[in-house]
Amino acid sequence: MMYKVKLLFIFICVAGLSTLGYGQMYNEITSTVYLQNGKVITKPGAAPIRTNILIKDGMIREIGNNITIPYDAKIIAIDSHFVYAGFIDALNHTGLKRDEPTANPERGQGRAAQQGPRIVPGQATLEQSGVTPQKSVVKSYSPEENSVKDMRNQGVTVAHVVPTGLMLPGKGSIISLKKGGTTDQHILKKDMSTYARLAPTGSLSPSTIIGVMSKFRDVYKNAEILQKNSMAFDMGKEGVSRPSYSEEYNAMIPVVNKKEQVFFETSQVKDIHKAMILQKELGFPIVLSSITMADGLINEIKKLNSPLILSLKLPEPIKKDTADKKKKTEEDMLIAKRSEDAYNVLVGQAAMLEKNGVKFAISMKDVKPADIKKSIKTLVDKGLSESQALAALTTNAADLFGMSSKMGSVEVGKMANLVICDTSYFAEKSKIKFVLVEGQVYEQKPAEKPARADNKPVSAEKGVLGKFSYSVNVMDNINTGWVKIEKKADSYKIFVKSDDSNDIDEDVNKIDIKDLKVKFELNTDIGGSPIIVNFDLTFDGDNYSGTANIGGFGSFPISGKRIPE
Amino acid sequence: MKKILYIALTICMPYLCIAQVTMGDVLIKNGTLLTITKGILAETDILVEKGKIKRIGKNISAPSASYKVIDAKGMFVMPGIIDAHSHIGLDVVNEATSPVTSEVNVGDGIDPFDINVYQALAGGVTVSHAMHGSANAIGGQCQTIKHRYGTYNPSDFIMEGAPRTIKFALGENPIRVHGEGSGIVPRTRMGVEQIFRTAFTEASIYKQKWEDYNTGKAKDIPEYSTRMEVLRDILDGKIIIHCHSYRADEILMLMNVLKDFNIKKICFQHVNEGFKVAPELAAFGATASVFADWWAYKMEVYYSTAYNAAILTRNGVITSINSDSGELIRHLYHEAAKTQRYGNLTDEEALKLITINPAIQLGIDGRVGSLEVGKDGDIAIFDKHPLSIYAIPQFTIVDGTVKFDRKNDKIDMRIIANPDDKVTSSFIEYHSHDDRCMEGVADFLFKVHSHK
Repeated sequence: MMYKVKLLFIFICVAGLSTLGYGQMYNEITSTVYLQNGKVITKPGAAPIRTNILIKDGMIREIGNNITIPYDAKIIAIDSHFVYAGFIDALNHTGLKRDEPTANPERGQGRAAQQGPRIVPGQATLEQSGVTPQKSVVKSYSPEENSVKDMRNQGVTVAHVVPTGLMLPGKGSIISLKKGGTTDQHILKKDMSTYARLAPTGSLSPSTIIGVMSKFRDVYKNAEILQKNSMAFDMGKEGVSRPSYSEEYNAMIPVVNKKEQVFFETSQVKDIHKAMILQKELGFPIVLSSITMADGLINEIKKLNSPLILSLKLPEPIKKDTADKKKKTEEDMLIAKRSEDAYNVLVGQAAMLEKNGVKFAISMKDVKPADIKKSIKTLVDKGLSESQALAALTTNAADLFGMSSKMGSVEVGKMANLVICDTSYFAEKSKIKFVLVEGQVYEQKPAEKPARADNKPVSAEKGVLGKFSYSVNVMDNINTGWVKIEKKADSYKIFVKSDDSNDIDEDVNKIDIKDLKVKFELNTDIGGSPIIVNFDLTFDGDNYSGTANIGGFGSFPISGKRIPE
Repeated sequence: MKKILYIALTICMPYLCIAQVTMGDVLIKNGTLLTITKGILAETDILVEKGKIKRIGKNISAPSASYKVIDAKGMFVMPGIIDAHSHIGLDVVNEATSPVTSEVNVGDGIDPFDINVYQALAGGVTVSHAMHGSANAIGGQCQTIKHRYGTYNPSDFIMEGAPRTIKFALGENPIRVHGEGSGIVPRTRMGVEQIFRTAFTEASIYKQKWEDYNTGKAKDIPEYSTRMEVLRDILDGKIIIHCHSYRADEILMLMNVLKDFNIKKICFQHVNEGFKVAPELAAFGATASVFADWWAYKMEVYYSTAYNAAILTRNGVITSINSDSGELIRHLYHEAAKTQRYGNLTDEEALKLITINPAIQLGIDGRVGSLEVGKDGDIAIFDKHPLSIYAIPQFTIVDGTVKFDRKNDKIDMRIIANPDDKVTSSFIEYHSHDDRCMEGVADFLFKVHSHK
């Protein structure tokens, strides 16, 4: 008997060890953790203090140099490492289940538009129009999704998770990025926000940004009316009829009552302005979100005095042109200089906001998890102070969600959300060693290099690389142009250019290349309306043929041949 | 009290986001003033103070050193050109999803960074009528914009106080988009008429419902609809209709519909067959905004003539010449001059086609369209007479602020550049902005080149 128990114990330990890989969680043998001898940055701007931290049941219980270490504490020696409060992602889709049959509402085509009988564009239902403010993100969340792990590995411990969708995708929740358990166990604040986007549908009403704005007004005002009519009905006022219930309008009532903030995704100046027009007209509490460029509107933003979320999406650094300088005209130089200035403006947004005294949190939605640290570093290199960068990642976000008594800093009584770095997080080569989410310890070990063999290009694949003409027949109207397929460092890039347009489309996703079969999804727009075209091509020598599926309109034959370099 | 809040809100909508617009001071010396309404004044000065024309006369000196002084000796000074039909400075043009889309407003989608606006300034154009497209029988609301290029704030473009306008469209476009495209009314020209009649009837019912509620007759608050709010305002005479039209029979049809609903304010756009119904247009009080000589880009627009503007003018129809194009807008003065070759209009008549007449059509003639004391300081200065083929604009001034200066402007006048903008993109951009009337329409997917 005793022997068997021992064996089982050893087995558990071995199993535990073997699964302890990159970003893995320690087995929860105890809920008491003692962090020994770290350099703790208690809050933004504070100097590092050499001290110890005692954590129990997910909370920071003691900080100091004279802590009696409990017998059941797991002791982690973090000698000389920097300890920060866990980062808070102010807006993201982290943890959303990938297999949800949403037919990619992000990109415009509602599922209904693609299946079943064709919908008359002007007769779309609210749902088909992208108005689903009643949708709770919680149902779509899973703590086991890779995105949760990926974000946590970057030090993100809590996220404001919002659903995907078009103009009013639904309600966001504040979720602890813990592993295991049920979603419910990780929810800190459920359905606390309304998420809004200036996102038209592909082909149904509203198909333009101005259509979205008009729809927003209608939804908002009808929510106001529903509330008033319901109140009159409840009070039994004479002559009042029973108002017909609407899930969508009902979900907007907290916003109408100014009790729930609208997180309005806006990006650049023109979008910010549009959101501000709606806010001024209707008066709802707004959080300007996902901002990438606010130059020129900063005074208006200051006047608005509402919280702000900066997007961590940054432009690609401009490649230095190595071509012979003599060939360049004065005009070329001038334009190159403008491009460089434009790049600096974009990466300098955080510094600009700080200079103007505008407090902001950060959304990591539009940046790859692996690029988060690099992007933060770029913001700091371009003038953002380290203390403001840390504030944006911690205290500002905690304030924004009304949770600063529970998170955002390293203090007794706060949730034990911590990021532990081998040196200053903002140092060039710093590495995150541990992330703690409510006391759960996730150790970061260098990732094993994945076997490369599978990813090597198969020789047949080369047959699909290069530039090809295309000709697509859409109901007897022929459109021509070219497609270019490139491969750089194991990733493909595809460019599409129509002869009818001056622009080269490069917003290509879901590239799937197997032998001589090429599939990809092109996001383009027609007069400001987004549209998705799905290509499915089969190559044969220098020729190919296949179909182009134009969102909502059907599949059309496409063919072409190689254009010699 | 609160009941009328909704109405108040919609009325105030366009004016809520007005930011600070720069009002400049400028003195233009010794130019030949083509006042449009008060004749030609040789060697005359014009003083603009805080964006408004303060004085016109001889030997005016600048009240202070802060005034910009332009020596216009030998040059021609005219009011800023006004384009009554354009799509520049807009993010989007067509909400082509329904035969009636009065709920959308292109004023919500102003693009202050559009380089076409600068290029229009380079052609002396200071005000344009940024219009919704022609995909729907009742399209979106349009926006009269001042070319205050250089601002980051889209609201700065909105000409404060300009009357509200809306786009209507007759004929092939709405039939093709909705009838052929979605299999709904209108599938024929008869169907287009029914769209108007049904929409105005529904709007009358909507209006009545709200009136019943506001007067306490009904207790339930009716459903709110921006679309119906706007249609009701058309019925109430608060919005000027600008209708895309070609054929004479349809022009008469719409005038009959409007008579039935007691709607008076209308400007027919394009109106290529206007010459056939000029007396009827004049009798109705309708105005006309035409091309000088552009037609035959589709079936319904083959029966046309370059004498259209002259015939309409001589029949007493207030007529303007428009661009509907980011390219034509740069030389509307040439377009106006064509009416002298085809129709023998006088200099003053020809110039009125691009100044005071479009101003009347947009309801802004009290503010712009002529050089008069008290009007806005919107001025174009040419080296030669603007109706001469050799004329080149030298300065364009909006609200007393120089927005185009041929000699001193930078080579690259983009306000915002993108890091990945390719060389010369700003200079070829206008090509892609051409012909925006049918932009965004599903047909564009199929690359059918549908003009106007």
